[in-house]
Amino acid sequence: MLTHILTELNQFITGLSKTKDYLSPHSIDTSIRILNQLPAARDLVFEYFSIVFEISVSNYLSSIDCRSESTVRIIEEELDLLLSKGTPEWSIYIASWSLEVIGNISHKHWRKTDIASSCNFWLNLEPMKILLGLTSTCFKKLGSDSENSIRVLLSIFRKYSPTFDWVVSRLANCFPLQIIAQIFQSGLRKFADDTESRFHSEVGILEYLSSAHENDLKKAISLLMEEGFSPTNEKQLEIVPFLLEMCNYSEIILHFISTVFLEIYNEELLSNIVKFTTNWMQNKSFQNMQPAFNNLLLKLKSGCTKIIIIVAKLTMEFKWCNTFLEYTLQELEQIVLLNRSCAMLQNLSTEESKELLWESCRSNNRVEQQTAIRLIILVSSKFTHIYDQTIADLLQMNYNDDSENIWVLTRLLGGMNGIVEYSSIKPGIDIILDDILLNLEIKREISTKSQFFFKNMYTVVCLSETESVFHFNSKNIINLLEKCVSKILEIFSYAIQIIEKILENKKAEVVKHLYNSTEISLPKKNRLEGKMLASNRLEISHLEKSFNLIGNIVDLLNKMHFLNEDKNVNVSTISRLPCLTVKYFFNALHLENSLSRSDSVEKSLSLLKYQCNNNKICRQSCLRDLLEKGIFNYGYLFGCYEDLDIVETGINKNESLLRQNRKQIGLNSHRSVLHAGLIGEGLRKRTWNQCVGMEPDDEIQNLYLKAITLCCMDIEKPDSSEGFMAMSLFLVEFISTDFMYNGLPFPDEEFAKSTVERDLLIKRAFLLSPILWSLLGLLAQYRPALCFSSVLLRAICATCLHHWRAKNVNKINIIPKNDETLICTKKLLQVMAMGQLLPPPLSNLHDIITCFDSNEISLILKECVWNYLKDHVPSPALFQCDKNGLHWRNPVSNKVQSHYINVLKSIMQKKIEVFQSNYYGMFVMFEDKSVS
Amino acid sequence: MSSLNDIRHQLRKLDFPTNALEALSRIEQLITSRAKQDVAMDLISEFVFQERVRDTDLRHKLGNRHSNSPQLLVSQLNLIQEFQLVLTLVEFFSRPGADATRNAVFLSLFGSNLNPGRSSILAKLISTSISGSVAPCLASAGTWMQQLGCTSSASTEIAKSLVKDFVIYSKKTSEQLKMLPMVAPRFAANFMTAVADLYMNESVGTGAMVPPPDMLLDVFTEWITDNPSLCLASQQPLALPSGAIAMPVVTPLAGLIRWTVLAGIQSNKPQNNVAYSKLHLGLLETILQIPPPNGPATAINSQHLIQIIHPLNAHARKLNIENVVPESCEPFQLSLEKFAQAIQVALHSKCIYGSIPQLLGLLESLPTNNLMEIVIKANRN
Repeated sequence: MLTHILTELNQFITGLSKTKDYLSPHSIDTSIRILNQLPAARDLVFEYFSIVFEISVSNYLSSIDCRSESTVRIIEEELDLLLSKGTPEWSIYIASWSLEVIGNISHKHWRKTDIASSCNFWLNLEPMKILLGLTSTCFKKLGSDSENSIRVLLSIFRKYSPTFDWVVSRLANCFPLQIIAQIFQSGLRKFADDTESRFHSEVGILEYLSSAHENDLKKAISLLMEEGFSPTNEKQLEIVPFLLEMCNYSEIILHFISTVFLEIYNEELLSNIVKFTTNWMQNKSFQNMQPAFNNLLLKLKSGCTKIIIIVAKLTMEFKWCNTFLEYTLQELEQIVLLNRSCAMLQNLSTEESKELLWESCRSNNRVEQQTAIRLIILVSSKFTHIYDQTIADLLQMNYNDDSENIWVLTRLLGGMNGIVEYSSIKPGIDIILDDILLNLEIKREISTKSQFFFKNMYTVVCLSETESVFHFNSKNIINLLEKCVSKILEIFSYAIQIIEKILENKKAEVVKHLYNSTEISLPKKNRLEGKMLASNRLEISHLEKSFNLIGNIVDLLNKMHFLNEDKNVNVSTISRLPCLTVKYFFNALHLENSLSRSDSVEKSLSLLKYQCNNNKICRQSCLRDLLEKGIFNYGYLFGCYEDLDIVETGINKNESLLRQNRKQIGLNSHRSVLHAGLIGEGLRKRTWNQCVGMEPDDEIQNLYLKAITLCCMDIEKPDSSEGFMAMSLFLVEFISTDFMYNGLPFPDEEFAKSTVERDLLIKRAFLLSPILWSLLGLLAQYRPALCFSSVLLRAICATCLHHWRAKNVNKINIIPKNDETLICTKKLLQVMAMGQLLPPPLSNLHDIITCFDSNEISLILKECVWNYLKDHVPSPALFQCDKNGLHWRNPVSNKVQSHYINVLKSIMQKKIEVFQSNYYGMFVMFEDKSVS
Repeated sequence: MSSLNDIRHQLRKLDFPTNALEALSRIEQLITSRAKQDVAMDLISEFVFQERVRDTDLRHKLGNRHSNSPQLLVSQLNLIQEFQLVLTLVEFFSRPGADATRNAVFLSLFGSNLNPGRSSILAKLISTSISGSVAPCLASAGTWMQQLGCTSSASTEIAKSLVKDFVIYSKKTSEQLKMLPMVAPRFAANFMTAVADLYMNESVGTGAMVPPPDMLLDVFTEWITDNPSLCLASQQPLALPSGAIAMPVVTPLAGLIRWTVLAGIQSNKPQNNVAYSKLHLGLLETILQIPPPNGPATAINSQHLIQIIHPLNAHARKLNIENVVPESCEPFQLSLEKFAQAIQVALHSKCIYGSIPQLLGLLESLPTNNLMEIVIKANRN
């Protein structure tokens, strides 16, 4: 006789064991009643629930009948009720039951997939979702008592390891840190028991959790690592080898472990690591792993640059670092050569890593530096932009002359050994050049970096010529630079512009100052740069920068020999260079510091020389520029007086044009042809000595002449005076204002009247620019070049003749020694004698000319000089070429006929007491000689 | 032997659980006839508990069955079969018959050879009987408990399991549990004795004193308040088969007095104090109702009361360390007073056996309490 509940139990059991009708509503109702009234049958009822869930899942999987769903729902409701009303013990009971059921079901329907897809798969099934929901409700209910939850979860995890992974991953969201730590711990235990253990499950779960619980994972690793590195820990023998083992399983774990390691790494840690290594080596799996550590590094997605650099820094201390480094790099090299890919390469290509590598390239540690550059080269083979950027960065660095860091550059520019078509360095150089240009164009600013760039390029080219550099040959680099010449010249020209602008401002300032000053006692001539230096330092520094930059550019250009036959450089580009070089030359002359001046000048001269000797057009333009600028633009450097009469025109700007016209009729007629003054204003005041200009400086003048000589000389034919002839023609072109009557012959003196105005202008040019005399002197040395300047000589000669005659008319007999006409006459005679246009004895005239009075001088000039030249046209035909290729006139064969010298003789005889020795030297000795 | 083989043969033709029921009848016969006890034991093992020798030992068993040690026998029942067996047992024990026979069978089933499998079935059986209010079965269980000793490990196991079923895994107090003193007073009393030993006891478990669950406390209080004689239920004579010796009885009184006394120094929850006070009152009333014994006292062992003194002294030391004078600590004094009351009432009822002078002597070692001093003085001679 059984009571009601026992009858029900009996029926229920019969139902379970015989009819197997699990899903009928009656069974469910009974089961719930039994659960409530017969606590002893708790396990039985729950086992029944498990069966219901299993059937339900199978039904879902084979998508038959959905009756099970309502059944499952009823169970869920009942269990929820138990959870909310029952004691906390129920939570653990239900949690472990539902986990067990989940484990069992997943185990039965196991398919090999990854965790995420398992999750998706199972969570699509209503019963599984309910079970998981129940479990997490239980865990929430347990709340602070997470120990128990985790214990339950992990014990079932151990039971159904691979199939249960997804559940752990899923539920770990409730207490991620504890779960992660526990999983590490359980892995560690396994590892400690048997180093051969496998950790796929653990790693799978950790990987899954890593996406959502990055910080917890990091924290867990960090705690574990701290333990592993702490000297007092007993387990430290296993922890680190275990972590490394985990790294082998998963790149994600590897990533986190390495990140954490880098975060905690410091000197102290290093010493600990060193201490422990021997201990770790006792661990067999560590021993096996150790040679393959570099593989881990290759798999690293972040931080590997930092690690490599750290290792490189340690190579001095520890030998294994060296081995490790070498293996890693070789491995990487293989990967690159075989055109494979690895995580490390990707990592190296990041911005952050690039900065680190650059930093290391500048290190003084040789290994670190070379490692960094090697890495850059390796990674650049895949990511060429890194190569370009690195070139751009490293080439703009400042390297001390004595440091070895410059070798980094040679290695970098050399590219990678074994790869023929390694990317070109041109893009990198282009980046730099564009950058410099942009700075110049927009900011008008010269960066220090740009100076370094050209200096470094120069050094590199120099190094490449020496045998010690095997990374690349100089020809490639130079070829490449040649392609960039136009940009380099652009930079050159901007820099020149900057200098010129400053100089112009200074000049304008000085001139303004001069005119504003009412003091007559002001120095008549002002040294320009003296003023300049005093006025503004900032701009001077700017000036120096420009000079440095240009100096470096010129150095590089000098090295390049770009005018070779290969013709890599096009003509239009080249055509800019002469002008720039000449400008640089003149600007350099302005430098106060004689050392830097001579240095800069030297550089410009060698560039000039190179151009002139390699290209005819260049020679022409160099010469023309040199002369033109020397005479006109930069004349003040050589003591040129500036004609300031513009100021004195006296034209009232407010005066109406009509009134002006009434004063004078004709073009330009407010000035007299002879510059004597304005009509209606009386004679012009002689103010020319109040001029701007520099004290003629022999040194500067010599440099100028040297420059011209270099331009004119032909290295291959040192005796040829062709260049000088050209120069001569240029002089005529610049100085003679007329285009007619510029021929070589001296006409009848009468005819000279027709060119009197031009002659006056020419004479005035010589007066204002003393340098012209030096130029004529230069020409005189390289016979027969002077002949082509005949027109200039003629003009001066004619003008002097007029002046002497005028003095004669005015009865000025006593001529002061410094009379302008006298000095001019003397110089003229000197130049003609030097140029062998006046053969002996006329060639001695300049010595004695000061001893004559004006009447005599005019006579001598007319009878001896003019007439002689009229009959012996100063043309190259007068000169014979000797076997050495030198042009000269033989004084013996070209004797001056007596009718040219009779006047002179008689005048000298009249004053024989004055001319004793001269007379003897000129006539007697000469005749004696010729007679004998 | 042939009859045994016959029985076996017949039984093997039947399915479980029918053969179990059939076997039980045969066992009953064998036991009442007081012959072939070992045959009965074999039948119990094979047909009631479906115990089989583990596979590895099978060959050995075939060779020499009788020399087998019982530990190697393992129950082959699954959870469903276990409950089928439980129902069968319930059915069997519900049959009308002599209490002594029933008790004899019960003791044969669970008395000796109580391996974990049988223990689990016993727990389920008793729990189910409580839920189903199966009085005969519970009566036998009460006897079984008393014979094995209420604080023996087997009894304790059963007590723990029952507490789990009815207290820990329950939403509310089960009606059947409340009714237990009516249905099976002896079992209820013995159950209380066993449970009282589980809680507030330093010698159980980790050594820390664990208070009983509130629900359990309430149930016991209700039981005792409603049935003042419940605690003495176990002192009723046992229905044992002839020749069996009744074991000495331990009432739950001493254990429950320990609860109420120690609760004062243990519990911080005021509502619990009320519950314990109620229990205390119930206990005092029970003791007062104990009729003066004919022979020596049987209700409370003085040794059990002495056990309470030690934790009280330990607590006093603890208070001293915490710079609290035990004499001025109110909860502690209250505990002492309750203790003194209980002892006074028990002495008055002359229901303490064992050495009373020793008890009094030890009581003097406790921190001073007025009531306690009076009690000691009053009973010194």
